[in-house]
Amino acid sequence: MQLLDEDFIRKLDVLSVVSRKVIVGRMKGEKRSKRRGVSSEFAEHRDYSPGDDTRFIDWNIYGRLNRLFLKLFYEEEDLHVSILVDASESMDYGAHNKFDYARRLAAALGYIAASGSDRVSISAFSEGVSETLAPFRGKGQVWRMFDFLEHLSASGGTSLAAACRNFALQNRGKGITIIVSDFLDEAGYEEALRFFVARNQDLFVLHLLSREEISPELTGDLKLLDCETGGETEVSISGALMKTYKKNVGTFCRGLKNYCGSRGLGYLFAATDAPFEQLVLNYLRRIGLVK
Amino acid sequence: MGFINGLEALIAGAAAAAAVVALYFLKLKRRDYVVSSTLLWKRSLNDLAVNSPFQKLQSNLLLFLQLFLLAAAAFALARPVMNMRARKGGDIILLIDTSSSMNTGERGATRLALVKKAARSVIAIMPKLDSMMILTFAGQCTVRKPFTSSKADLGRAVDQIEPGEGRTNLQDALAVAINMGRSRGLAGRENQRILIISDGGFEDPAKLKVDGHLTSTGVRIFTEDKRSFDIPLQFMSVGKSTRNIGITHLDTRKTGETSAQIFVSVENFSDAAIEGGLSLHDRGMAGKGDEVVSALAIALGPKASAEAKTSRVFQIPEVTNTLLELRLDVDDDLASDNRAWLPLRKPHRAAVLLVSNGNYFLEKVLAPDGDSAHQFSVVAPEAYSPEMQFDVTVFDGWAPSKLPPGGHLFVGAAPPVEGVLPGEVIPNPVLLDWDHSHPLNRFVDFSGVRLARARHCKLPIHARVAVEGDRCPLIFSISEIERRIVCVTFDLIDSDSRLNTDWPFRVSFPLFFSNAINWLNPEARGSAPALINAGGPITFNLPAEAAAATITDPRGKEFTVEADKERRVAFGKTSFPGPYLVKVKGKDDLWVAANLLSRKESDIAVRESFDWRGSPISGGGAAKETPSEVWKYLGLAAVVFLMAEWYVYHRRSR
Repeated sequence: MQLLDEDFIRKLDVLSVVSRKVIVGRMKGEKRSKRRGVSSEFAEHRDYSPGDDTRFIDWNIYGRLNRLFLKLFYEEEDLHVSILVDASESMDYGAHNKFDYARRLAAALGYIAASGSDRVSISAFSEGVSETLAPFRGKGQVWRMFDFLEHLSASGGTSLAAACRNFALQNRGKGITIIVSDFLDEAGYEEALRFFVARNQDLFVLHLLSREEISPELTGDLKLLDCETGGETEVSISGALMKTYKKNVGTFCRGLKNYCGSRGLGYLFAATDAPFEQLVLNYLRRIGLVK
Repeated sequence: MGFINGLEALIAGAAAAAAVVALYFLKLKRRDYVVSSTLLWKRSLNDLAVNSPFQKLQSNLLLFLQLFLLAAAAFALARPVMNMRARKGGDIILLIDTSSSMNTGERGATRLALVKKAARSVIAIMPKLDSMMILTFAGQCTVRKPFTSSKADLGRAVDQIEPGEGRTNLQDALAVAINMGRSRGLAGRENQRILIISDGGFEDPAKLKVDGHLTSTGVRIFTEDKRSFDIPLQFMSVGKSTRNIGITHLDTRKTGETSAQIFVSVENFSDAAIEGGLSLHDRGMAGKGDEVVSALAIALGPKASAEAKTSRVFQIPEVTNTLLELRLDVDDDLASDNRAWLPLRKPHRAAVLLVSNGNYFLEKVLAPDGDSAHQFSVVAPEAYSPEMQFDVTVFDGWAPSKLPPGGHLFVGAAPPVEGVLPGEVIPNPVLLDWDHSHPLNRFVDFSGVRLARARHCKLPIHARVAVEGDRCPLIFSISEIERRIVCVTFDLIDSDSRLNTDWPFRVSFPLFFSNAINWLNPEARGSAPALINAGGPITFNLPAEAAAATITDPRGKEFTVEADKERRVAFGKTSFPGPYLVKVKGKDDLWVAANLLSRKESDIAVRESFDWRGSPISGGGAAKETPSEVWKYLGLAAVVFLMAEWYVYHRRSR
């Protein structure tokens, strides 16, 4: 499966990943860091102390106030972008397959980050972190990412909490984490996302559902089989049931959005039949993930 | 409430319920469907279970609906009945037309068959508490079944109605029906109604004599306690065909002493022109011959056209005792009016006896002239004997002490009859008036007749005055069982041989005596008529030596009819058109022809309504559509629907 075509990749060249929380990287990248360092971008003033480098004394302020102040500048650092892709069996669903959509999204975001000299790592999770692509930097390495994503498969159940805990333990550094999932976990999503909130991580939640999950067109008496758990639920489709189901879908999505919003986490919902290009080029900009 | 088919419905309902429940659970085979996650589905089911307590009902709604449908069907099959104590039963008086027009062919059946079918349908839907009476009517009204609630008996009565003939006399039948309804209503029964099933081929009832007030819809009966109740009239028309041509008029006239002419009219009542033939056949006195006397072709235009009716004349050179038959050879839907019969009777030469001492005028007027119709003899009064066998005896100025049976004409003498009391002589009586309807006065004009004297006579109550004078009756007649008497209360010549009146010189004189001889002639007295309308009575007098008469109808059925106290015979079973043979001991056999000869019956176009006191009583052809219970079809449709619904659902679940 070709995740991204060449025309679309060219459009991604102008984008870059944005972190709302400027964080520290080991290498000098293209992102402003909150740390004060040597760069051309003025940050702030502080009082002069004996022994400070006199090259950074702001003589204009001395002329006005007859006091000595030092100019401080932002340190330019690199950004670590971690993309978590839900590879549970529930993602392999829908006419516009959720798993394929998630992989394409991960590929686009990974390409954008790599193009901006950011460090990119991609992990697939189901009941835990199942596979991880070692971090890479630069466009020259994106092929590894495409290759990794193309060979991923959706299997196993969903345990968001376990996967996020494992990821958090393995990635103690700061950076941007993007989770691409349907969040259909019986245990819920709160515990999982709390790991990122506690670490003050810059987290973006990309919530994917297929059209068949949002507005199922079912009739009659059915035995619903959960593809992950194998659980059976007997339903007799009626108008009232469909209405309640759609209401619950809306409640589910709003609940996740509100949780993310109240904790400063980025959130974007997308149906898998939404135009992919529009999602990446427009909607991701709106939520501030890319620019 | 009760159930007519309670046990059967219970068994059927239980068996069907088991089948429905079994089928329902078979239908619960669910289709497997893989979803990404049942998380949200389970939440939705929980929400429904919590928020809507009737979800379990909804999930089994189909089962409950089917069981309800089944219960309703079983309930209907049990035919529940409720005892309604407050309601009283009603009465239906069914009048069924059995006239000749009801024999009209209607696509393989007859109108009478359609009428019987309509009657059966009325019986079928008759409410259980109601009673019905069945009358049939043609020329006469016959009670087929008195009031009864038994539908089986009523149905049998209808089945036994045979095709009839004759004209439609609705008036008499209605009078009978209304009186029946009145009696029942006064006895406490409610809701009487009269239903007429016919093709409408009758005269609109008029001047009905019933004990009630005629309303626009029926009759209103008033009770003694000043209440009233209505008996409505209803009309159900049957039939469609209009194709008929028939003999509508038949008459005969003497053209000489022994010759006669026969007039016949034929009319087309169809919407199309018809051609055919008209023939006259001599059946002979025995009625078994078939000699063609004359035949001709006829062509008639459609109804209401100028060519729709035609008349023909047949010449009979010599009248003999025989039976003639007219036949119409056409292809139409009613055969009853295609034949007519005409008995010919050789004129009877009456034997006339004049008892007189000599009376030129009487001898002249009574003497036969050439080939006269009667024989004539003269005797003197002293030579007269009652045993003399003459048909008519004329007494001139003299009366015997006893009067034998026969015809008697008294001139200038009072007949020795109880109640006739001769009185004083009236000088110069003036002739005031005469009874123009009296057979004696047919074509007679007494104007200008002058009299010198007349004798006053006190008359019995049954005497009929033919000519009235200013102070006394001048001519009267008495008709008794075995005698007919005519009395002229004045002499023609007085005892001095002088004229008492100028009457002998007037034209009315011979005409009167000719009428008198004919009236006194035994052939006119008490003999059966040659022609009657089908359904009309055959009446005649039986001679003293005969105890009864035998009448054979056209179908060969014999009836023995006895006379009443006055030696009068009346036979009414003549609704079947054809020749009737009357046999009386001591007398020659006579044919009496009962013919239809009715434009009303021959015009077989169905009438949808008839006029009743200016308002129409309409039928609207209701008999063409017979009401029938439809619950069986609804039940069958429900079963088919259920089976189809199960089939479709089962197909979808695969």
